[in-house]
Amino acid sequence: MPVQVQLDAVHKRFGDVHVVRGLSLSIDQGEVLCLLGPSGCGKTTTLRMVAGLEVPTQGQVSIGGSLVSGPGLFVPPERRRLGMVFQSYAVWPHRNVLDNVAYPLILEGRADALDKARSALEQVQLGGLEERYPHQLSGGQQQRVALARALVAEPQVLLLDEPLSNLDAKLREELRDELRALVKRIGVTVIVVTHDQEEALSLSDRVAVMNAGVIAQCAAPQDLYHRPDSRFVAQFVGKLDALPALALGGGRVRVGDIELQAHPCQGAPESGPCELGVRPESMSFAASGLPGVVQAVSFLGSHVRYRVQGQDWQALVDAGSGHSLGDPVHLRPQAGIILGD
Amino acid sequence: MRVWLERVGLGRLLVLGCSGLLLLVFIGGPLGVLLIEAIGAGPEVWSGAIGSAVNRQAALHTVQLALGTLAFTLLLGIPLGWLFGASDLPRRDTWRALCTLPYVIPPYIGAIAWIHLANPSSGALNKSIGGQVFNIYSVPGMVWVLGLAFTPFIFMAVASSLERMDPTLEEAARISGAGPLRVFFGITLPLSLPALASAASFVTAASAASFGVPYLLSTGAAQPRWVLTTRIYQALDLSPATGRPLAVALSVGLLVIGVGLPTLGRLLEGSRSFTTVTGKAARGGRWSLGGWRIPAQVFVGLYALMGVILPLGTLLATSLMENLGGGLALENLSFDNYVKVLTGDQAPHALFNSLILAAGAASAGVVLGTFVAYLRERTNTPGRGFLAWLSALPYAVPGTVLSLGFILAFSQPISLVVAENLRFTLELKDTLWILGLAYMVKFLAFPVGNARSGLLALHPSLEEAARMSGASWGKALRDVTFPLLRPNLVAAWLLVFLPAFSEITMSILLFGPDTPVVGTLLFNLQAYGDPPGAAVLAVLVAVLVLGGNLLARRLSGGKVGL
Repeated sequence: MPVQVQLDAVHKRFGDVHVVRGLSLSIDQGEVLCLLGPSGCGKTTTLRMVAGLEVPTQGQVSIGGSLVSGPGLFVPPERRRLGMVFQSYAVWPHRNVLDNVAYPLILEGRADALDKARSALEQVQLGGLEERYPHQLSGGQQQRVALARALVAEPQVLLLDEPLSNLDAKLREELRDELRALVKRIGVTVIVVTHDQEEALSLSDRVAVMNAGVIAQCAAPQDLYHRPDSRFVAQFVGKLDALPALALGGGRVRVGDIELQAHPCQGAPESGPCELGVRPESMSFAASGLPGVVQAVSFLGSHVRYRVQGQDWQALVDAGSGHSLGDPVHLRPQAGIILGD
Repeated sequence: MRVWLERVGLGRLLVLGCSGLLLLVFIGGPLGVLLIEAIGAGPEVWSGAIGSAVNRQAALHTVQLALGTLAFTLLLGIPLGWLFGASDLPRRDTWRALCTLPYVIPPYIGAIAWIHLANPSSGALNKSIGGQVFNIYSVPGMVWVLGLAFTPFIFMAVASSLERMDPTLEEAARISGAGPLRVFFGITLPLSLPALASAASFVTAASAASFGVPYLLSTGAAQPRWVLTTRIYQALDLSPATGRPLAVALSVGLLVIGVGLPTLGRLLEGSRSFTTVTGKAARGGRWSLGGWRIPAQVFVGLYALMGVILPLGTLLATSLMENLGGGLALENLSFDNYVKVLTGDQAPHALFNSLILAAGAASAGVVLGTFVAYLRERTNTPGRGFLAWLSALPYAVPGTVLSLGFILAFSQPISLVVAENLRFTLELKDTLWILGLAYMVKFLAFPVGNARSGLLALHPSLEEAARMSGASWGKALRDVTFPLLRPNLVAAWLLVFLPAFSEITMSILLFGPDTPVVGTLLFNLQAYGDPPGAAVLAVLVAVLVLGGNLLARRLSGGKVGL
């Protein structure tokens, strides 16, 4: 697949604040890539630099093989042929749904603008609402209008800034699946910014985890979850508890009297004392293993989450029902990550 | 350079750059020249200014007028504000609408009416009691007229802060055992103090800066009471060249009083500024007036009578009288004065000028103000804070001082020689341009303020979404930002148009032989022997201003209007 979007050593400073610090990233054509990170990590700024809404302080950005931002060159946003959905949707309140969606085509001077806009609305299942005004729409419908408007002019790249964060949980899940199906059907390249890891893992082909203005790791969701490069990524993506352990070399590790194969992070000790990161679903109760006491029980519907306190550790365990507060239990980790510094 | 231009955008650079330049030239210019003149004035100017007893008197009268008007408006405005905002006064909305009228009518219209009512020799009130009891040609007379005109500023501030105040704050005091008066002075009044204080400092500054009322109430007097604004006008009127240094010195005095008094007040109040007025809670219960309902209505009615009904009625009657001494007999009433004024050659010319100037100043002000607001709220241009401050400055500076700055800066043609055959000459003296520019600059604070609050309420992504859809900056402004700001801009246009149409303070210093405006003609007629003609114009101004307001309210569904 040819590279569609390329960022090379991009920096962005706002006054004294150095928000993006030498970020490099390339995104293939047709790929859905997610920028994930804590707030203030520079993910939205990065997206806005691709859009042309922010000017990089340093570094290069190219889209579709041509440079759009670099030394001696800056292409303004309206000439980048991109589509964008804003966190606030930015559906224009003084135009009706059809006029909102047709706007990019009208700017191109296309005669079939209204027809194309109608079929774009069909694609996001808003047929029949063309004459409505934004204040007459629900949040989810406004989101679809914004999406139709972003896609109607067949952009090279679709940019989504926290696209689902203003919706309630149930609708969010529904729209997430729909969104993925839609962009895959069209085959457009997508960059999504989100702080919601569930959204990132389920929506994208690759996730770039950002921290303090740089990319900590960029990988497929499964790799990111099970084989993180660093302690930051391991702890940021999913739940993780650290147990004191002993590394034996070659990824073998011993916790208590249990020995298992684990994934070593960068900077993890080859042998000697270490910390083993374990996710709640890779912990199970057993007749023997690490002894501890149940400290909290929360019923979550599909499973029960226990918090177990050991001698010098604490861990979450996802399992079926059967234990109650204060029960002495034994835990057995199935898989884990040897954490680095 | 090319890249930098690409990033900022050429159109954007030109538009925003020109906006900044206009502010620097037409606000920074006049006020800067005035400042330089004041600094450069020699000791003989200052000693001449201070040494004259008339000037010292004028300064004293200015202080008396400012503080007297403040006391008058507080005395009337606080009870009225409480009655409208917190009591169960019957027919509250009608009374309130009636009492708000002085807010939109220029104060000098009240002065003209009160001259007819209470001038010592032939005032209707004096004649009716057969003595010379009332003398409107005095500082108390000025306080009376200005006080009636400015009372709405106080009661509107009090009433709206009372209405938005969290009612549980008062309820808690009542449950704690405090009586109604104790709750009012211990809880209610202190809580509305921030709103009251800013209205009070506005009234103080506006009274010190007022020109029309003290001018009208001096020119016909046997013993005129000059204030600083009228002294500055006199100095410039008597001898334009030699009067200037004196006018500059007096302007400094006026600035010290007009800006100093409110600042002093704010310092006294400043230590206890707090915000407890929330937007959400609406007043639940209102205080019951009980047996005081009748006296309260009499009080409100008296204010409406003195502030609105009597003056407007007097003007209407005067404008209809064929013979001023003939009284209100039916055979003495006709529209002859209207016919005479409207078919003469002066009034149509002045009305036309004022309409053109007010509409031009409002339109230009809205455009410039929008770009200044954009510069301030949507870019990170260095100096944007300064430009926004500069745009609000003229409204805080007395009109007399601002127009003195215009005279100093633009009374000579200014030539900018670019090349031998390319020179720009700015020649403004005695043109409509200098009046229009002065109006625009003076009231620019309204469009800037309205556009800024509009932009703050508008998420930047709305405009960015247009850019991402393929629109250039200018196209995005035209298609998205400006249409969404329209309600704010329409209101701002009216806020410039209405006061500019009837403006007198600056006009009287800046108008030329060929550029009379409504205000200057009205003052001319009043001062030089045609009171019925002046009354006709005053009625027309009042009708237009009230009608314009009503229209604006109707069109906007109550959102726009003074």
